[in-house]
Amino acid sequence: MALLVTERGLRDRRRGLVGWALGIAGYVVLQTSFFPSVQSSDLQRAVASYPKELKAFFGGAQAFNFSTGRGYLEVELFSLIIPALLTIAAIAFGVGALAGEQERGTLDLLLANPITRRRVVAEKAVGMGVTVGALAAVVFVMLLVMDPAVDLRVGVVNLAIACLGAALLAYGFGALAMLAGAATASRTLALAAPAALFTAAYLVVGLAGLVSWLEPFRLASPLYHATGTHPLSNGLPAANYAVLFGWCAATVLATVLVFERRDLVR
Amino acid sequence: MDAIRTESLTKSYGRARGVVDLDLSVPSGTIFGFLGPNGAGKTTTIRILLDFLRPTSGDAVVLGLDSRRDSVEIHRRIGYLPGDPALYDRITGRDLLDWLGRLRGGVDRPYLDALIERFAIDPDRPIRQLSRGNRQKIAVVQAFMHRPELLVLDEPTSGLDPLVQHEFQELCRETTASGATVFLSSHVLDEVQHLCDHVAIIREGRLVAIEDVDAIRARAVRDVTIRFAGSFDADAFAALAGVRSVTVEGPVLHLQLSGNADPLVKLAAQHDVVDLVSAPADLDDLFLHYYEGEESNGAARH
Repeated sequence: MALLVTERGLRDRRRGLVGWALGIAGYVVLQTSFFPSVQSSDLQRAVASYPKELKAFFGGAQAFNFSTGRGYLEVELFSLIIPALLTIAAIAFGVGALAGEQERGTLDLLLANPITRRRVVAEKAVGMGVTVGALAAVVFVMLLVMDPAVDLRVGVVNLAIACLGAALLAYGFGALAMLAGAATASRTLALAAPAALFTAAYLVVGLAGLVSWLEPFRLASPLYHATGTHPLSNGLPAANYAVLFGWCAATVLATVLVFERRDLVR
Repeated sequence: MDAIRTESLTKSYGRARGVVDLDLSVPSGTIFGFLGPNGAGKTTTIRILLDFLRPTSGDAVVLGLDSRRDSVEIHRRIGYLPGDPALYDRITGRDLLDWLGRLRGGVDRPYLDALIERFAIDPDRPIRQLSRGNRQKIAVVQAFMHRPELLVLDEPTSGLDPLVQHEFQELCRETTASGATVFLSSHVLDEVQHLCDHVAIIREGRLVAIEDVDAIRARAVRDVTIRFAGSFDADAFAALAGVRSVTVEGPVLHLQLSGNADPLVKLAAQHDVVDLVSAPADLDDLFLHYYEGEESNGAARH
């Protein structure tokens, strides 16, 4: 059976998605084109004199390796910017998926059809996967394109690993937006809940480098599993993927359970 | 068999009033009006039938199916028009109707085209560029286009101009003539009077009365204004059966009339009448009627 709800969601967001893709592609091109000049500059020595707390927050001295393409991309793209951009796009989708449709009133029109609520959530989840996947693919392709031009030597496999990790991370926060929207029907809360959690997850990973008692807690942060261990240089253990996959799947499942039970008040 | 039957249907939630112990039966093949002021519980009831809301207690049976367990099958067999409907408005009317048709596994294309033509819908403009009335027409068509056995229409005529309202009423009559049932909510007595075979009235979540349209019309209150050329005796008018709330403004007499208009007209005819206006029965007045009945009962008990 055709995924008609997925199709509607993607078609209606077509323009936004193209805008996101162009923006991300442009950012990747811009950022990578600086690499040769950074590599040959004295920035590496300047970083050595940064306060150690600052370095610790961003993942220790290893996080500031500007001499290799991998190290550079890790700092400039994969530690925060790319995951954050993908996450924002995913949250935007997740907010619109249920809370947005309910606030606008189109959910009534949709659910009056012979379709289960479960299926509606599932098709929306597929649409969000397509959206996040497409944007992660843009990052992947643009870096492959830029690689020879600026001599990044990043490696296709590690690049794919890092992009997939960022995509799963973003998807999980998008799913949280859907869940919050399913539970509250409020676009504001659907936006605020995952945004706050992303911020908290980011801070926990950074502060864990400074405050030793926080260290165990970083395991609770999805950001740690997706980006905390420098996937571009080191790859990503299967366990990390399992955690990220499990988190995404559990959040979508929770969304189904919550949405099926919810009274849809107009 | 009843197209819709509710038994002791109760829904309480939040600050909204919901519905209380609603026993409703809508005979198949009729146009059934569900009448009540805004906030009375009409939309709540309809949303329970659609399984958007789950009853606190009681049952709702639609086309012989349980509203909760068989919601997908019910949706397959009904057409629904939400109150103040929101449409996916970035696409054209035709694209929206096509898409909704595909969600239902295909529609009768010639019938859909006939409906589009009948309601003079511009199918090729993005919906967001259309006026409210034109959007409402698309919403009406999507409810009818798959020839459902039961139509559940929440305030269907709001936003439609009189000509389109007439077309809508014709469509309802044709639809029931072919065996389907139309269940529509309204807060406009006039509309229900002209269109519906049966009427149920709901107020503050409770069913007030189920009776045939003529009986309601007979009890309905009309606002009558008469302008006289000469003097007249207001007390004589106030003494007539069915007349109340008499006020006088110079040569103009205002009153409310329920029931037969004949005594009033005969009395007025003894004077020189410059102008006479009888406003269509107002639902608020009709409800005032019920309120007063209830309050006097309450007063008698004290």
